[in-house]
Amino acid sequence: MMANDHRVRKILESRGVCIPETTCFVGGYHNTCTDSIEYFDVDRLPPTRHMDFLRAQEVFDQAREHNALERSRRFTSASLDLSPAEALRHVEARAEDLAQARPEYNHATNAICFVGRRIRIRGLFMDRRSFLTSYDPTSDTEDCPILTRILQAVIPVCAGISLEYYFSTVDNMIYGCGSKLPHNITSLLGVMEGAASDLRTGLSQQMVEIHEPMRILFVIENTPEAILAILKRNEVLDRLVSNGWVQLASLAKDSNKLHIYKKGGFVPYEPTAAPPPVHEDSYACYHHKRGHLPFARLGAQRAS
Amino acid sequence: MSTMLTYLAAIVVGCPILTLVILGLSGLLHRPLPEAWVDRLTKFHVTVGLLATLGILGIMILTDHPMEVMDLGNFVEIGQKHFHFHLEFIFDRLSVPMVLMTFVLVGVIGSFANIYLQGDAGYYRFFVCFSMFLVGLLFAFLAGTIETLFLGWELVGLSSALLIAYFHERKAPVENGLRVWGIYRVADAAFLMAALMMHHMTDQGEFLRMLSQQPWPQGQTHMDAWTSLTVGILLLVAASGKSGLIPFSGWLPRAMEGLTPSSAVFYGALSIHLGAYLLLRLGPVFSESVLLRVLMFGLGASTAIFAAMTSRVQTDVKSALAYSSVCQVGIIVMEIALGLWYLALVHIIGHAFLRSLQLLRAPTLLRDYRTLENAIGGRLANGQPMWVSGLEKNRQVQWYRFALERGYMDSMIDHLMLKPFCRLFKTFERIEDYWLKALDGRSSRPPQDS
Repeated sequence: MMANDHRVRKILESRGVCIPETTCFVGGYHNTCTDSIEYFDVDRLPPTRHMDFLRAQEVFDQAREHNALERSRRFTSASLDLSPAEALRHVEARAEDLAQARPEYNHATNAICFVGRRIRIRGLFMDRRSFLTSYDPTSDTEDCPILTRILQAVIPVCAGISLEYYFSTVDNMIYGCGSKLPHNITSLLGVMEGAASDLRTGLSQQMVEIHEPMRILFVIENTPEAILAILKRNEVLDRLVSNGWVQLASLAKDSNKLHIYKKGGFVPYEPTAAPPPVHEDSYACYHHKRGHLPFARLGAQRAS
Repeated sequence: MSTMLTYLAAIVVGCPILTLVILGLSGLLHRPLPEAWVDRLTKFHVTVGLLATLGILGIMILTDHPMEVMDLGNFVEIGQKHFHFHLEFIFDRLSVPMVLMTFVLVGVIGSFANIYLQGDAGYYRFFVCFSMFLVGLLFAFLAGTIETLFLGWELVGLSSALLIAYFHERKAPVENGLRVWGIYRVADAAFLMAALMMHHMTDQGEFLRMLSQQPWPQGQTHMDAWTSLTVGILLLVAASGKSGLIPFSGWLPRAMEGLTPSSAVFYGALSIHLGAYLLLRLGPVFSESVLLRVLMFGLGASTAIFAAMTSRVQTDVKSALAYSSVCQVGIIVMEIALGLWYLALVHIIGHAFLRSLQLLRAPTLLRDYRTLENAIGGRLANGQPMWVSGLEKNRQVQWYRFALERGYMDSMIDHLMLKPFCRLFKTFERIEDYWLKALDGRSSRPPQDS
């Protein structure tokens, strides 16, 4: 890991980013299909930190199990009564099963991208439908250089993912690649259907069968003016937003006021739906359910 | 022991038929069974059939009993016309290993397809064809009479065509299914003619009497040279149709139109061997004529060489595997021609298992490549064989083109067989029409747009 190198740290320090001596980075690779995590260069960890690493690993292992359980409710071949440990075993077996046409559902059901402080959505159950991008508006300056860089990456990428799912779902034969079952790998680079066909692009029927086609909604924690200014300066983002490929909303820094983007400007948004139900934890939200779930508040009612 | 064998034999043949009847009837009555039941039913019957076959094998080995015949009598008998449809099954050193292999592979595919097809609209249809295919294969492998073998061939052909056209909402699978069906018909016609000739010459449809009651691999025929030559050539045509030998190799990659599990095991590993099996079963017909054996060897060798070249240049994984299957079958036919029947039998079984595994792994090819290349830290070797790099550049291009176009065999069949055939029958139709008009004074057919 580069950031463990004291030379790198020195350069960073000269630029105002100070990493304390006690901080230590461990790289890892999370496989979203098997929910396994592979840690890199653990042998380079200072021996004094090994216990910390093991403790962290335990927490990650719990998170893996719960993540697997939350994903498993979507798989028809997984029982709804799995325990977290069984769910992890189920997704691991599923990934290796040659006969399994749906090893994972990837980004299916994606609907939202939140750009802001995680504290603002803490305790909100979003049914795995949101991309989360951390951004602290209080540390950004007037013309938002940090937010600009984030949006330049996040909007095209998430819009691309969302639109790929959107079009593959609305016309699976043309924009998607049809059913996976007759696929035939050709030239080691793509698939065609059966003995001879065009190369098939897009997502397969098995990948999008649980997806609800919709334009992704970006909720950005900053003022409408700041966001409009960023759009004005970035033609690529502006084209995606003003032509309606994605939806945009702003969340005020210091209140719960929402503005939604409509035809070149932001208008205040008034919630019309009833407030979300309150559940004890996310397990209570999704337990014994297969379909799409509404958002929910977790734990005791929080003061806003 | 003998009654025991008869019971076991009845189970082996009866179980798959029962599955087919249950699945087929409930489908016809629009009361398809739920997926879980279909799964349990097929697994149960395949397991029972496999265990019964193992039992037969055990008893045959323990009691040194090389052959068990199960005679079901005449299915149809028309005394005056000397016509009878005789159902008879033979369990011997040739058929028992083949049946064991069939049960194992078909059982594996059954449980594979149960997961693979989960939630697919055609799940039920697949399993009806699946059990029909199993019944057909068992009939073909166990057949004791030509009629039974023909029945098995037909069931295999029909279910194969239906499985290839599984995605019947698209055009290509239906077209390719029809084409494979057509080639199967050519093979069937050749086989039927051979069967008729043998019937005529020996007055028997039973292999045993035809081959003088000796258990396989002994046995001899009593046909004169010319008859056995004609019969042999017809049988070779039939075998090359079913086994994808020259010039019919084009059907196997087309059969990959269907689902991975069905195309994998059904064509690539099981029905591709039907032709070779026929040659093994009727081996004594060939063993007496040197000319026939030379012909058979030549057919096998040219197929093996052609398919080896072709499989190397295929761009998609299933066609590459299909032509490698054809190549192996070519080699198997060569072995049969050389009289190495046991070797051929072992080769068939080994090849069937290997190819099934490869075809089932085919969809994960990219991942396997990545894993391998990551493990060795470089690209996988992809060199040319010596004899290719030794060739002149021009020749290389010529052979490459020949292999890429799959030996031009499909278009050759189109131009030399299909088109003249269609033209001939169109001519007959016109003549008939002309005569009817002349006799009747008006057109015999309802008006059509020309």
